[in-house]
Amino acid sequence: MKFMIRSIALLAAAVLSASAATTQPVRVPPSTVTITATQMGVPVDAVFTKFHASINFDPAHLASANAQFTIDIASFDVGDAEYNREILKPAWLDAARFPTATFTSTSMKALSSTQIEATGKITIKGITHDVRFPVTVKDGGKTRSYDGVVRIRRTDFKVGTGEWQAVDVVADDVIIKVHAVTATDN
Amino acid sequence: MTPPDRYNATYKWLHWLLALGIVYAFGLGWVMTGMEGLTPAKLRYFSWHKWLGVTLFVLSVARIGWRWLSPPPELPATVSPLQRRAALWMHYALYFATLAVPISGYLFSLAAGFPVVYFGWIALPVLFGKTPALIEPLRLAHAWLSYAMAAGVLLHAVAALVHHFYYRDAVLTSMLPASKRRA
Repeated sequence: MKFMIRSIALLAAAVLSASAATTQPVRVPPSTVTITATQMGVPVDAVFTKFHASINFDPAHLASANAQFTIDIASFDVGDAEYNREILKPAWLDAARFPTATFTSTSMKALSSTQIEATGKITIKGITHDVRFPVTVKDGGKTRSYDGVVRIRRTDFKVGTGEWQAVDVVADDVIIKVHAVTATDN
Repeated sequence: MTPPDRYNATYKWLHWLLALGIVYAFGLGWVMTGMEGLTPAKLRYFSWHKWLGVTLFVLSVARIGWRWLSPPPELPATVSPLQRRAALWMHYALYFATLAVPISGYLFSLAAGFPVVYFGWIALPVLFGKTPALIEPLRLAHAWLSYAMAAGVLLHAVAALVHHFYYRDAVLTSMLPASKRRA
C-alpha cells in the first residue's frame, strides 16, 4: 500500500513536471510589440498590433524553454495613416513581399532570479540575424509576463533602402520592446 | 523719463530676427505640409521647422520681456488716437501670436507622438504622451494661429510702409538700423 502511494505520488510528480513546461500562447492584448526608432534625435514609437506567439517556459527547465513570435508587418502603426502606408512600402518593411517578421529562440539562460538571457534568430524582410537580449520575467499568479528589449540595426535587415540608407535622418539603431503575457502552467 | 524717439539696438535685433525667423518658419511649414509621402527632406524640414519654432519662442519671450523693461518710443504726434490704439493692440496681438503659434505647434507635435529634441540634441519636456484625440484639434489650432499671425504680420508691414510713404513720418525708420536714419 505504502509502495503504491509512493508510486502514484512519483507518477503525479513526473506528470506535473512534464506538464510544467507546456507551450502557452501569448495573449494579445495585453501583450505588446513596440519599436522605437530615432529620427533626427527624436525617439519615435510605433507598435505592431497583430502578432501571435507562444512561450514554453519553466524556470526549473530552462534548457527546454523556447519562444516563437510571428509579427504581422501590415499591423504597423506609428499613429499616422500616411506614414503607416509609407513604412509598408518596399523601401522600408515591404509588407507585400515579407508579410511577417519572426523570432525563434535557440536557447535561454538565467541571469538572475528575475532575468534570463534569450538567444535566437530574428527574421525581418527575409533576412535572418542572431540576437541576444535580456528578458525580465515576472510571475503574477495565474499569468506570467516577459519583458524583452532587443536592439537591432535596421540596415542589417535592409529596412530603409535607397535614400534612407544613410542614417543621418533615421538612425540605424532600432529598439524592439516586447511585453508578452501568458498563462502560467498550473 | 521721456520715451526715446527710436527703438534701441536690442529691440531692433529681436524684431528683425523674429521677423526673419517667422517668415522662414511659415514658409517651411507651408512647404513641408504640402510634401507627399515620406522623404528624408520632409523629415529634415519638420525638424528644422520645430527647432526654429523653439528658437522663435525663446526670442519672443525675450522680446516681451524687453518691452516690459525698456519703454518703446512714442509714436509721432501726428498719429491719431484711433491709430495709436490700433497699433498698440496689433502689437499685443503679435506678441500673443509669437507665443501661441510655437506653443500650439509644440503641443501638436507631442500629441502626434513626436517629442521635440532641440537640434537633435536637447530633449525638451514631454508634457504628455501620444494622444490621438488631440492631434486634429491641435493641428487646426497651430494652422489657424499661423494664418492669423501671417495676416497680422502682413498688416503690420503694410502699416509701417503706409507710415513711411504716405504719412512720411518716422515710424518705420525708428525700427531700421541706425545707418538708415534720416537726418
